[in-house]
Amino acid sequence: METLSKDSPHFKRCVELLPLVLDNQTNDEDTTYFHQYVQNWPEILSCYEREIAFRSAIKQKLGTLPAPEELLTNIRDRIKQAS
Amino acid sequence: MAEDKDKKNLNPEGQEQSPEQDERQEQVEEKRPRYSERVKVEIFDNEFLPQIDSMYNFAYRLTYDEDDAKDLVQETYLKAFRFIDSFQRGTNAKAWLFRILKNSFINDFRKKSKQPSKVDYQEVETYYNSEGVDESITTDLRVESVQDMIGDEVSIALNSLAVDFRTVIILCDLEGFTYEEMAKILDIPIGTVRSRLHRARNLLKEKLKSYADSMGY
Repeated sequence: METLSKDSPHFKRCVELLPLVLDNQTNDEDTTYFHQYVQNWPEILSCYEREIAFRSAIKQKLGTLPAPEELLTNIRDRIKQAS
Repeated sequence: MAEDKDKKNLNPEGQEQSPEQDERQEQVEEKRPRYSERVKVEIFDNEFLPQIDSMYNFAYRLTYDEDDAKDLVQETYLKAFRFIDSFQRGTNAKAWLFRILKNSFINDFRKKSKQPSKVDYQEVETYYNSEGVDESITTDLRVESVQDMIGDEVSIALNSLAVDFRTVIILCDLEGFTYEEMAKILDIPIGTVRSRLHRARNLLKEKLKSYADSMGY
């Protein structure tokens, strides 16, 4: 693909899409568009990759805490009493 | 008495509302078909209970106390069952439950602590309304330094954020809610969700950067 300048309307669109793609808020079409055109601008691509890596690391470090087993039992008991 | 008063002024999602809103809510409730006991149990078992791990995670990240988190989740499920007729079957149960949990936290748990977090949103709220926003202007933090940290340090950094900032990070980055879902859960406009997220992430990066610097990462 021919490298595009920052004057290209695709540049502005990619900048607009960047936070949305990072937050998984785009549809398939916009996501594909972003990944196709972002290759033209290493600074946007670098920002995207850093952010994705950062969020992935945070998610991995925080992990998921399973609910204690007794919690489900307690809820079921309380619902039985309430109904 | 105080408890009865609270109940009268809460909508199904646990938000406080005016008598006029109460009346409108009742009209909506009357139009909506009531579920049979069998269907209620089906909805509860198949749509509500599978969310228990996410609910507990959210509650724990809000309260930072295992017992409080369990109480908050239990209370949320009891409210959900009590108001199950106002839940439309097949819609987003997780978002509905999170909304109840968040409101229960604000109405009950945060009042108990008597230390409401205050955040100055003045600069934040209009952020995404401005032209030429550049998401890349963020606090510089090497990902490697985060990877070198242990989970506790990341948790401590997240905990140190005001609850409103902490909440958006949990909802978006850990639970994967859409902006629209987050706006409904938090009762704020989508633009505010985005600006708050942006600010929250930068604050988290600042906290982590301070830690990384102090540890020589």
